[in-house]
Amino acid sequence: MRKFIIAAIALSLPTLAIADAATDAVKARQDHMKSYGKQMGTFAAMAKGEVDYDAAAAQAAADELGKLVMVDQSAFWLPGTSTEDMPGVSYAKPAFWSEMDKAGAIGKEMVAAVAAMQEVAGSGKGEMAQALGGIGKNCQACHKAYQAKKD
Amino acid sequence: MRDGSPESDKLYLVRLWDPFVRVFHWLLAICVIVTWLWGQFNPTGFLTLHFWLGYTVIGLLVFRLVWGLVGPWPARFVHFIYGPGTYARYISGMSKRKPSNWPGHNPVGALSVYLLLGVLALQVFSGLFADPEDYINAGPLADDFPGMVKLGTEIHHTLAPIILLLVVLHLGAVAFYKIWKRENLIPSMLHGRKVVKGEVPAGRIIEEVSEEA
Repeated sequence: MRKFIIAAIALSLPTLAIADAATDAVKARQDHMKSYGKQMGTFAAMAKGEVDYDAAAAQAAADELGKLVMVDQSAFWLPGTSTEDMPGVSYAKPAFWSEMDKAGAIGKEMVAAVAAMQEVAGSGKGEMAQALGGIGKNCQACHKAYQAKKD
Repeated sequence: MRDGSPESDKLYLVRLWDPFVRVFHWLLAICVIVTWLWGQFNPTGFLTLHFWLGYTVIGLLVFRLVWGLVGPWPARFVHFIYGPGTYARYISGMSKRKPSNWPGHNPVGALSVYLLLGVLALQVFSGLFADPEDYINAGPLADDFPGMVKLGTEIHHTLAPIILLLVVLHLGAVAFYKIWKRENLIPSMLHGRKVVKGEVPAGRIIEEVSEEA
């Protein structure tokens, strides 16, 4: 009996390790998206006049976002971590993996929009707000196509 | 509840649409068109104008609800609820190439009015909870009622093309009356006067007209 249990545990270990890697990947990308959201919140609050425009703070948020979008995300998007593989944990639609090229194109546009923001974030509220609109469209485009909605 | 427009009735030029209904109609048209386009194309990434026009639509719909209960006769909801017999008679006569001279919302138009008002009400309500996920804009109640966001966003996005369809139908109907039935409904919505037949309150009659102009 004991041998059987040990054998069962030994056999299940690789599966657990894979499950763990998958959960880590989902967690990592969700945290990464939250960091995007945090910078977006800084811009949006200023653009909508909820807080006063602060050139230094806006530039800092832009530079932070600039770093975040350059992070290598290959470990975040492991195959087998879609919302169908991990319901309730992952909210990425399987289409993300079958349309990697389209998703990647949105990512490239996002990088360009963030670069544009880095250039103008400190030069005025109007310029910053305009650049923000450009970034928001990429957030929306990717989420609309590839993110399952939470209930 | 009135009968399907009887052939023998006299024609009267009447004051049909009161000024509030007319202003309501055109304000609603402008707000819906602009906010719909802005929501679809979102040129700046900021939906601020879309939101303010949406709030204006809420105000307009509340006014129309009140006006439909206490307003003058042709604006009242009870006045344009019709029975199946009236529908059958009206629809069977619709293909005739002559004006309806209907005093108020005709039976088919009434359906369009109820549908448009209902869909717009659902649209502005769902918009309060909608989140377009651009991390810039969110309905004013999205943060307070996170459980409503998914449903609100889905309804808001589903109804947009339906509103377009209803508006196109509305314009199509106006064109049908103008071209096929030779009854131009647009001036009545501008100056309020219309040539009608059937029962109308005496105080509303401007003059009896012998023949259709």
